[in-house]
Amino acid sequence: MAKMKFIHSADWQLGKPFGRFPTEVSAALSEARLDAIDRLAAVAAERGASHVVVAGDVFDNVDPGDRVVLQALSRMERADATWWLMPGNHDHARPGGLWSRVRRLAPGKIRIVDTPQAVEMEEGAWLLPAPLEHRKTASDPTASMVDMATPPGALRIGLAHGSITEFGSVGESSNLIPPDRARSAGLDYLALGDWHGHLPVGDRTAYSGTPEVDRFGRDEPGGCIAVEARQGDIPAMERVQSGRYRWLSRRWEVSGPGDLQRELDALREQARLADVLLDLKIAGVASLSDRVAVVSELEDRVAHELRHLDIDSGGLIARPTPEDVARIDVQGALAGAAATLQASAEGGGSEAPMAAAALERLYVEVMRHGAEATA
Amino acid sequence: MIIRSLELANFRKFREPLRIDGFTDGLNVVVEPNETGKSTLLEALRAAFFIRHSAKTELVRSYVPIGDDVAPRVAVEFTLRGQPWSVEKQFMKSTSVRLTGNGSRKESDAAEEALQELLGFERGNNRGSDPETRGPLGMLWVEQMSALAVESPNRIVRDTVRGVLEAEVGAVTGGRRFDAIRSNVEAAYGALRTPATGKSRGELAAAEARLASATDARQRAEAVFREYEQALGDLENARARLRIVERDLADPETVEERRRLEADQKLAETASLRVATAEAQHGRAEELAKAAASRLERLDVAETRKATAAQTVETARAAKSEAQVAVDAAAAGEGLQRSALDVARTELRAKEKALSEARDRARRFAAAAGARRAIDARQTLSELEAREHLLKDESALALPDGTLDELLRLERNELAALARFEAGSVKVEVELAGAAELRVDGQPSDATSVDVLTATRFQIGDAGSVTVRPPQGSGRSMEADLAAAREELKGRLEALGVTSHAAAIARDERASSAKRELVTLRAQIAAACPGDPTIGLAPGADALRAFAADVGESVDISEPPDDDLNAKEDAVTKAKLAEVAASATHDDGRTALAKAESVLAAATADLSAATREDEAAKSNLLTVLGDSDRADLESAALELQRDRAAKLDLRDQAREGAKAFDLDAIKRRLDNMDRAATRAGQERLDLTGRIASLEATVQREGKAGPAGQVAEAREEEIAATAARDRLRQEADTLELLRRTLGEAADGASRTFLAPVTRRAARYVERLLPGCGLSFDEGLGLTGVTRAGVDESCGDLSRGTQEQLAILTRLAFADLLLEDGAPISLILDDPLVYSDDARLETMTEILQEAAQRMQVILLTCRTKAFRHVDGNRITLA
Repeated sequence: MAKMKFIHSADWQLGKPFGRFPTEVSAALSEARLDAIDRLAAVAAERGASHVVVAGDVFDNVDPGDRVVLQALSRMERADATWWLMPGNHDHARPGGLWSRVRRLAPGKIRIVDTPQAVEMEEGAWLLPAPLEHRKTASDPTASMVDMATPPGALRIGLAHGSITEFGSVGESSNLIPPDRARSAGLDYLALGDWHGHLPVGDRTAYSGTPEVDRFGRDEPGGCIAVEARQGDIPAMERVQSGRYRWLSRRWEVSGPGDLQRELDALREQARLADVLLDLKIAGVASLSDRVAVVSELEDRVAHELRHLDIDSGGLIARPTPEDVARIDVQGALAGAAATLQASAEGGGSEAPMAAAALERLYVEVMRHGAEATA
Repeated sequence: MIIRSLELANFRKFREPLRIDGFTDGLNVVVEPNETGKSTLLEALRAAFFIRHSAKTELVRSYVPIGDDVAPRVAVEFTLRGQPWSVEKQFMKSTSVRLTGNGSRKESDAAEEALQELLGFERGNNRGSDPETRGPLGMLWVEQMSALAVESPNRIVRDTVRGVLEAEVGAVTGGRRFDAIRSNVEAAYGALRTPATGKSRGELAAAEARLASATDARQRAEAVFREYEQALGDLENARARLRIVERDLADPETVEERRRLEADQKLAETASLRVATAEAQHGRAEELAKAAASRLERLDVAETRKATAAQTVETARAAKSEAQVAVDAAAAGEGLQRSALDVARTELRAKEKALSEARDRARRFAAAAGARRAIDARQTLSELEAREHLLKDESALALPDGTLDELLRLERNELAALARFEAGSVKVEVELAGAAELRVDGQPSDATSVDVLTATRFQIGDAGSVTVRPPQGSGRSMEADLAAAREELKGRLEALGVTSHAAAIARDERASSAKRELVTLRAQIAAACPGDPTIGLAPGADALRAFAADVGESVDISEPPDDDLNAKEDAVTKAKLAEVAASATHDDGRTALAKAESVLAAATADLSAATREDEAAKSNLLTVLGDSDRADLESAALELQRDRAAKLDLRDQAREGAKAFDLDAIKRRLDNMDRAATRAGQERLDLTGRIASLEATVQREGKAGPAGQVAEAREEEIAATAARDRLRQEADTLELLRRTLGEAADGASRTFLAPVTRRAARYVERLLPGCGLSFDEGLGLTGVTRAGVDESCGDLSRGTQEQLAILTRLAFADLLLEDGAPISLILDDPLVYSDDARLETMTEILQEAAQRMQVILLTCRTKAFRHVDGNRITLA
């Protein structure tokens, strides 16, 4: 009975630019995606798997630069495994395009499956790939698997990229795959890509998710699936974490520095802050001084501890207390300006957010001046 | 503070020591002429207080009188809070300061510091350019020109006033804190936007530039990517096309078709070759047969020719003999005819001679007869010519034209003269009775009428005499006229040889008649001389006369001859006819002979030609026959004709065989196939090249990762947009904040400055009723409100500005006074621009103020301040 151990991965999206992040962050994130290859290699070695199948979207776009390609290839080459790379919707196969280049540059242990033809991985184990030739394919790319002949008794491993029809519009592509494809095509395992999270579909089909998370909205770390497939039997699937960075989204209700501290402590419990990219929305109502304290704590301290912080403090409504206003000034022009801004901020209307911001800025300036004066 | 005295020496214009005292509390008016050093007094006061004795600034050096090397000295005595003080300073040389008062004396820096303390100012730069440090006195000691400007009070005044005001209104402005915060906000805003224009700068400008360049980069990356995609698409198309072309090139059906066509072409070409050969052979046989036939024809011709030539020779020979006979006969005939002609001619000559002689005789007789007639005619002519001579003479008497008219005129003149004479004379008619004798002037007269022109005495008999006296005068001239007329007539008549006009007419008539007759006579003469050709006489009288002269009077006339000319003439005619006939006959004979001879010559020539032709024909026949004979030739020709027929058959068979293939069609199809293949080959070549080029492009472009670059560029653009938005929001926030702060400051100032405004308003109301003042936060007067309309200071007249400047100073001075500050108001030549009414109001206000503080007016306008009630000090 044919059986085989292999690593199922997908959606590397190498060359993703992360351009909206500061340079140092985007460089780290890009590097981490390449490092994921090394970690996959390590997982394969650790699990005794000699094959890594990548179910599409190896690259982020149809034509990444040579630097990205060669970085990836050299890392794969170093590993003691055979890599099976398949074009997905991001890096779909085009004649003369990316994959021709990769094939030209790739060493022997890297196999590119850009035609829908069954290929023998090792004796008794066949890979049935469904590479994408277009970003969007209306038809089901896995349909041809049904007719792909393999020797009797051979292990049939499907490799495809697209959404399971039941996902509806959640998936990235419109390359819809029926959920029972493994059964209908007589597959022992169907390795899917496109969905960036880990997701088993039935007992023979799974999305491995990306090995390194690349966007917010997915709190769990990146990973892969260590598969042990046995011909005619339910495969053993083990999710193995491989991601470095955590992309966490949080919404914290705070009314003052104390609340913030509690939340931060909780976060520190969950992950190493240096590896965390935090998409933070803070909400609540706070006095002006509390709000300033919270925001400055986040911006001046937490942001530096984290790999990256996206902060939206708009939800934390400042309710300037009499003390806040008095701290600005009790009388005179400053007090008058503060009163004007406060009235405008509380009056609603389109000017309100800016008035609130201006008031906060005034408060900050007053505090800063006070600090300088006493220093 | 009350200034009591001022003493100065070696100070600018004042080289000699000058002491001004007698300053009192209240209003002091220091009057002095222009340029005597009024402003120097104020300068000296300032030097005494604000300028350190040890300073060597340009200002201090300017204290030294021009051209001197002396030490300027100033001394001031003043009272402050009831205490008398004095300060003395010497500059430049042996500098010193001494402050005396409150029971102490201080010198040097201690004195300077005590002075500052006392009067509330700070150490300045000693250049006179630091009003900020001079405190209330700095503001209130107003020099000539700065009085015009509505300036903000200096810092010390501001702070003092603020202190006063804060105490008064109980308000806390924030003061420096506000200023600092506001300035920080301004700085933060200014880092992002230019405050005046709102134009982006600094980080915001950089962010905007980054966004612009990111957008640009994104567009460029997209363009590159599009080109790359295009190249990929082109590559795919080219490959697909190449596959089709290659399939076409290797199409087995085409190959088979071509093979079949080529086989057909070979067959067709063979058949065609056969046809060509058969045609050539047939052609050659045809030529040979034709040559043989033509040779036979030529043989026929040669033979015929030979026969004809022999025949011709015979005929010619016969003709020649015949012609010879004819010639001989003709020659004989001609000899006979010639003899006959000779006889006829001899006869004719004889006859002609006889006739000629007879004619001579007849002629001679005719000439003689003619001469006789001529002589007769000459006789007649002479008579006619005599008559002609007469007529000629007569006709010569004809008068010239107009002569008759002239005579008539002259006669008439004479008659007219006579008439006039007669009218002027006395006509005396005498009728004698009986035989009485009449004597006129003693002359007997038988006149019955006398024209008396002069006194004329008539005597009739003895009976006495009568003297007739015509009137005097006229008679004589008329007589003369008459005489002249008569003379003229007479002269003319004599010249013409006539007696009177009537005689002249008669003579002229006769002449005309002679002329007419002469014409007739001449015709007769002409008729009398007709001429006679027989004797050689020409017509005309002259010829006749000449002939007659030659012939003489006598001519012999012989008997007329008796020859019968007619008979002789007839004989001649008959002989002539006979001769003509003989001549004609001879001519005929001769012609016949010539004809016969020419026939003979022709026959001889014909014979010669026929003989030559015969020889030629014989030779020709030999040539035509060559070595063969006719039978050989005929059999050879027959053989050749048979061969030709056989070849014709062969040719037709070959043609029939070739008809099965259309070689041209096959060639056309093959050509088409070749062309298609060539084109496809070329296309394959082109496509291969294009594919290679596109592959190179794709490979080259792909390395850079155009799609990745697009993704990067897009994200960079998004990031740049976010960064720009964040900064823009910050700038907007800051703008709102600074605006709010500005408004708050203005609002605060308005509240805060109310006391100043109120104090100033008291004065202003008097000067400009209905006007309000507004101050900025620096306590500067910003404008006035007239009837609710704001006017900025700059828009006011200079006079009003000066007045307002003084009034606001007064307002501040009041405030400071309340605060216990040392106050002294000095105005240098003020209110120059004020009209009389305003000047009066202003001096009233100043006089009132002088009740609270010492006011010193320095002026050169004695008159202007004459009405002012105050202490007058006049500079010597």
